[in-house]
Amino acid sequence: MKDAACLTRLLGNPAKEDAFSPLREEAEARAKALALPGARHESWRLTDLAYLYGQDFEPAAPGVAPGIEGIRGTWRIVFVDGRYSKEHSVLPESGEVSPLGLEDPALHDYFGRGMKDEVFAQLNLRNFEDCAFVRVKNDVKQPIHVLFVSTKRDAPAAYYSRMLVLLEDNANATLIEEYRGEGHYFCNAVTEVMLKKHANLRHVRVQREGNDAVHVGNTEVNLEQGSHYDSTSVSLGGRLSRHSLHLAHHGERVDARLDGLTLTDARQIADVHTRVDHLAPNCRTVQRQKCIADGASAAVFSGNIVVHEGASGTDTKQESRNLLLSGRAKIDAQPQLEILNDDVSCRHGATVGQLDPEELFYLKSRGLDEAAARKLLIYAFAAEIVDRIPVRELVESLKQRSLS
Amino acid sequence: MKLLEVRGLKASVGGVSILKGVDLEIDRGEVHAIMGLNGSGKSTLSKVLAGHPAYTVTGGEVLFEGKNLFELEPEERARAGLFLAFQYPVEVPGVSNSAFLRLAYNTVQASRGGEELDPLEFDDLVREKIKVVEMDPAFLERSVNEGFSGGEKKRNEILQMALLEPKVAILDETDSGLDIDALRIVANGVNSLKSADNAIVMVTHYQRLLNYIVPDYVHVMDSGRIVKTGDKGLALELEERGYEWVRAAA
Ligand SMILES: Nc1ncnc2c1ncn2[C@@H]1O[C@H](COP(=O)(O)OP(=O)(O)OP(=O)(O)O)[C@@H](O)[C@H]1O
Ligand SMILES: [Mg+2]
Repeated sequence: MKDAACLTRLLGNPAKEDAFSPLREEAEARAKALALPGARHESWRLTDLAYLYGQDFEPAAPGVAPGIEGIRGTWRIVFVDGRYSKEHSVLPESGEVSPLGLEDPALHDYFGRGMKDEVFAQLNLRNFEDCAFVRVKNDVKQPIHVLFVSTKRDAPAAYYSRMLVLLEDNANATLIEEYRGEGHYFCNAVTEVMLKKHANLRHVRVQREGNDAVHVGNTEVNLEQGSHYDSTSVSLGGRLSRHSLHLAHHGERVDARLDGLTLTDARQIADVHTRVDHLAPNCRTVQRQKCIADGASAAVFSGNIVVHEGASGTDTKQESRNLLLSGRAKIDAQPQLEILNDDVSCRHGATVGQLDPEELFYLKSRGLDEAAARKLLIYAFAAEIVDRIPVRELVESLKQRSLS
Repeated sequence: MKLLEVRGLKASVGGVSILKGVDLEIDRGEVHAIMGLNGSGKSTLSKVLAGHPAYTVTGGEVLFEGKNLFELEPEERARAGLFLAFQYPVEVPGVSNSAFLRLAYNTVQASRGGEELDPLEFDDLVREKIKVVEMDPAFLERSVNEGFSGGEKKRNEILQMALLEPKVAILDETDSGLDIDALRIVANGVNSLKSADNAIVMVTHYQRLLNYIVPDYVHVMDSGRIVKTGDKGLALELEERGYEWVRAAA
């Protein structure tokens, strides 16, 4: 019962006493009832959690982050081991970005409402220290960079990152959510996004945790009428990672685009699970997921689009393209559609391929060695996703990272 | 020492023997044309020389400046100065043409002890070289060959030749797919790259190209062998009489 022992350990410390205490208590009860996923959990069937269960994670004590490199021209809010770091943050005076205050009324309406059946999200609610709060009433011109950093320490540590994003009617924003760290740690992340009518969010998520890390992230996005959600999620780091992304189209004419890229090497395991619920008519979802697996790594993609009764005029497109770079690597890609309605246009497909030997030879015949030619082709495959990130500096640093 | 010496070269693909003993000598300052029926092995010879992994060399030898060519990897051959303009240039989606050209240029320059260029410097160079083939610079911003027309791909090949300055350039049907004006432009471009130190080998089906780039030698390939060699007059004779008489005589 390694999973049970792990749960006990993660709940071992007393819950923090604060205004969230009632929520924390409920969350603890729910986490216990749900239990950590074992072999019987269908949605975790393809993801081996032994690496998580094999370590004794202590709650992360406050650490000191080394110098932090931000991205030029962005507002920045930084959390170190789950705690807000004022010294590393650069916040706009107009107040769109801040650590979540306990007195904020948005709390009662939007905070901690969903993900009730996600045990990791409940653990996060029970244990989180601080939460990033992004609230946009009109437009923020500069991208908002929310950075979660874990510091290096001797014993394995668990920390909780949390963020609440609220865009009011017609608001516009670009958000970069990023995870970094070093050493053995477990980052449990929760992101809640609410787009009100006709709001528009460009959401970039970059998971580049350290090589030995465990990252489990839950993102829930609720979309009101006419809102536009455009997301790019890149998963590079961690020895074991999982990101569950859940979108719900509550109002008419919601437009969502989900681009994802997973890059794995060595013995990494990376799992991306997405679910999009079409609950209202005339909404659109375009999803494109790419996985690149090398070494003895494993990448999992499960993408589920559910068109509910009444969601007429739904338009969805789902594409999963995968690149297998080694005979020992594994990719499980499962785009899925559930249609409970007939007036819909839904297309999906999945492919798994290797680098094209003719392309490799062509590049070599121009002087590039095997390694350089492979890098170029691998990057080309990834570029379709990465190049769409609207922050040049981030694109360049991801290029370097994925090409090294 | 000749630039390139091919002696009794035999090669197979998927267990099928294609080249059955090719002999060919090429020296600096020379222009060669290789002609022959479809399927006679011209592209196979070109790709074997360039080091395509699908082909297995089963006999003979090739010396490039006196050294065993088959000891070199494809990229080492390119750096040493062997260039193949492909009959069917490969599309590489997602790789920008300018980035690819610069990477190739700098890699080859570095191996020859030359100067590598940063993107701005390279841009100046490539805009100069692109004039050789009168290609629209817009093609530099696109993915390598992706969606290029047949003729545009061929121009891009010759642009690469202009940048990499090979000692031996094998042009495999560079003329096919070019319209009449483009043929003249590309042929003039190739002529401008010709020198006393390099050699050009054209694989072609048509006399028209040879009017522009006049060969010193014309070879006829048949069933994996070079069965006849002559001067430029041989190409004219082939144009008139076809290949049957050569095959009958061989
Ligand atoms: N990869 C391959 N697999 C199987 N057969 C091949 C392969 N490559 C070449 N061949 C065969 O080898 C023979 C010679 O082909 P090659 O392309 O060298 O001819 P070619 O002289 O260039 O013809 P063309 O004038 O039509 O370009 C042909 O019969 C061809 O089908
Ligand atoms: Mg051919």
